[in-house]
Amino acid sequence: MRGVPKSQGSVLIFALMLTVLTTLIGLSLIGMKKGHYSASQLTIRAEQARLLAHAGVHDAIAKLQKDPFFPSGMGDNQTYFSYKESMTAGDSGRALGYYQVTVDQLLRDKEGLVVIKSVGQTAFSGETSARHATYVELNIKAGSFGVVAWKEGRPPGN
Amino acid sequence: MKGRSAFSLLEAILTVFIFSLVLSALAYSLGQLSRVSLARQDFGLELEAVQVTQLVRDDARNATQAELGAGWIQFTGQDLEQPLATRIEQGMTATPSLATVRYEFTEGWLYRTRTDGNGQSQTAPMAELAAFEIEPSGRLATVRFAFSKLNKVEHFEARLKLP
Repeated sequence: MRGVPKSQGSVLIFALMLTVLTTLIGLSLIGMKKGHYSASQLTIRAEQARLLAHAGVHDAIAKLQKDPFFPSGMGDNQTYFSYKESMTAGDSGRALGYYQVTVDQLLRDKEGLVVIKSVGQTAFSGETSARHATYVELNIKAGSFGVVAWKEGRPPGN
Repeated sequence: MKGRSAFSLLEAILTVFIFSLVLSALAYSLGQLSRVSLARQDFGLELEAVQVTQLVRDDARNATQAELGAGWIQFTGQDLEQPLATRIEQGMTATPSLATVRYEFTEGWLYRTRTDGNGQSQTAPMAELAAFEIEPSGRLATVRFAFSKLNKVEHFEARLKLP
């Protein structure tokens, strides 16, 4: 084309390239923020799962405090049992999650020890659901009833 | 007639600038959304405070003995790095079965030092704090600490049940 400088149109290409570049930067920023948002949600769920697991432990301790032979009764050879209870938020009835408790009474007679493992699981809500495990060794000897060891996560030695 | 080019350099830069502003505003809004979401559920800095108190409480729960002073607290309890069978074999109250955990506030950091029955110690920083105090009161202890973040200081208090 006559009279048109060869460089015409380079500004448009430059602008497009810059736009693509800023779009990529912007999208990565948005992705980063979205990651932060998901992380904050997961942290909250993790804390809720932990508290659910603790609720399970306290529930088992309370039951064993009332009856050291809970739930089987005296003379029963079964030493290992498990139960699961769900929890709701106050009167609203909204499901918070559940805890699953296993009570190992293998050392009950010999050492006066009961091992409690509780797993808390928040109400399933897609990616933000969480689980937490708590391990407790409980002394059930008369006069010295109480927690001997308390550990978050896996049992000792694992 | 002289034709005008599609965009001038100034127009192109202006367009890119406006576009960047819109994207930045969107990213900022998402950032604020995550913060608001935390605040709405009574978490925020509180969440970090909960994590610090939970750590101390976990060690307090596992302890059979506690000692404390200004800016430090030490718990002695079962060494949970060892399985129950090993501890029973060694004797549950014998030194090899026990471990001590000491929390100490030094130069703005809360450190946790764990020492096992063989005397081997491991120290790790737990949190950067503005203040940390422990006040005993019978079988309870009040732990007061402060976080300094985003140009503000927030104070927290937690009660521990001592063994």
